[in-house]
Amino acid sequence: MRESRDRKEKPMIQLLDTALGFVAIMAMLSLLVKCLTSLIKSYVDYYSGQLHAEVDSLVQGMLGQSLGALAATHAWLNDVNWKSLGEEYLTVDKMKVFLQQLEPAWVDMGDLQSRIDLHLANLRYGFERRMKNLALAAGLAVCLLCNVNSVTIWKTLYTDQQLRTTFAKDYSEKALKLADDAATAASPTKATSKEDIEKQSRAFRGSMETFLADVNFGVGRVWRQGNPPMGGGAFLYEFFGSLMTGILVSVGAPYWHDLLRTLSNLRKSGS
Amino acid sequence: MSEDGSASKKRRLRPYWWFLIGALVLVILNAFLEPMIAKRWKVPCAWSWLQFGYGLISAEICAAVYFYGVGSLSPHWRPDAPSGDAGAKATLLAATPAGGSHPLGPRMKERVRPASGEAAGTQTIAVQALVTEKKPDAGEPGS
Repeated sequence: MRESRDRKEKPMIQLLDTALGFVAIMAMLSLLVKCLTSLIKSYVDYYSGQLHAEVDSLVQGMLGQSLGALAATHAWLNDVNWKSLGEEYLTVDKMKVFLQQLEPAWVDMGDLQSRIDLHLANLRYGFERRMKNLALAAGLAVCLLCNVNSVTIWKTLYTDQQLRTTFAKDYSEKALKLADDAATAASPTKATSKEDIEKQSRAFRGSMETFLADVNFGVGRVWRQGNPPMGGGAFLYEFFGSLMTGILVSVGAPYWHDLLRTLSNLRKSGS
Repeated sequence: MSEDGSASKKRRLRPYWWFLIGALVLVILNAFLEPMIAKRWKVPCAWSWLQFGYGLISAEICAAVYFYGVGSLSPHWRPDAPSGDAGAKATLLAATPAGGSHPLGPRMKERVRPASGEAAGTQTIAVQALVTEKKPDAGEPGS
């Protein structure tokens, strides 16, 4: 009776270990994508651009002229460093002063607050949407260009017991620790200094190298010169597998982190 | 579809032609330049057509997602010129043709700038006049 129960439990443990290893890899990959997204965000500084566009839109709505056009008569507008400003700049008092500097005859008709609220909501919404889309683009870029195929990763983990054990134990612990560290670190919304960007760049390169060294199965198959060479069907399989991985990874590091924690607890209670 | 609608669609589709042109240029480069480079510098041909196609489609997908979701084509981004109705609807504030944006409409059209309380009253009347002017257009068919 005990033997039959063991036989029943074995496939369950195998499946759980595979899932644990797979989720650990996905968590590591999503951390990598988060690192890349953060690097691009700091480098391009979408937040300042979005804030400038919202203030420009507000000024256009109030004075009928864009900031660009007004800069011709108000040279001080060119000296405004938008990179150093945050959403705390979009307040009624500050906007009143700003608008009156641009047009001394302008008076608030009582609707400035509602306009600012709408622009502020637009700023947050636009920035969040763009960051989500940036994560999707970064996830797809990493997975498609490095050819990270989640189907091959799952299959390999399911069939190879040694790999499965390594990834379900050591690697999942490592991923959990890294995810915990990343969750506690604050993510800046505004542009950081050049040193910070360089630091982020080094961290990304380091994480990428570690990931490729750890997970050497189901990665970069299309770029290898096989003998015999891969056929069209294999390329299609790799393409759709990588596309699916990119979409899965862009779901976000917190999701994979929570899933990894749940599976890890389940595995511990099971053993 | 109205003429305006088709013009707007054409304008929105214009950037996507660059993806196609880029792909064509890369295909030509791969077809002619790669063997030439391989022959001239005795470099072995490093990639097959399938690998090239995979790389090209991957890069195009990533670029399309980036430009449509994050870059200048994104409906969540508000460039100087509005990028079509879809772009305007996606943001909380719809852009007006004049360049301004406000849920109440282009109130500053006549640029009335009162300096005193009396003038402020005049501006309020001017705004009310603008609102009442709009009413017949948006009125019921029977009225």
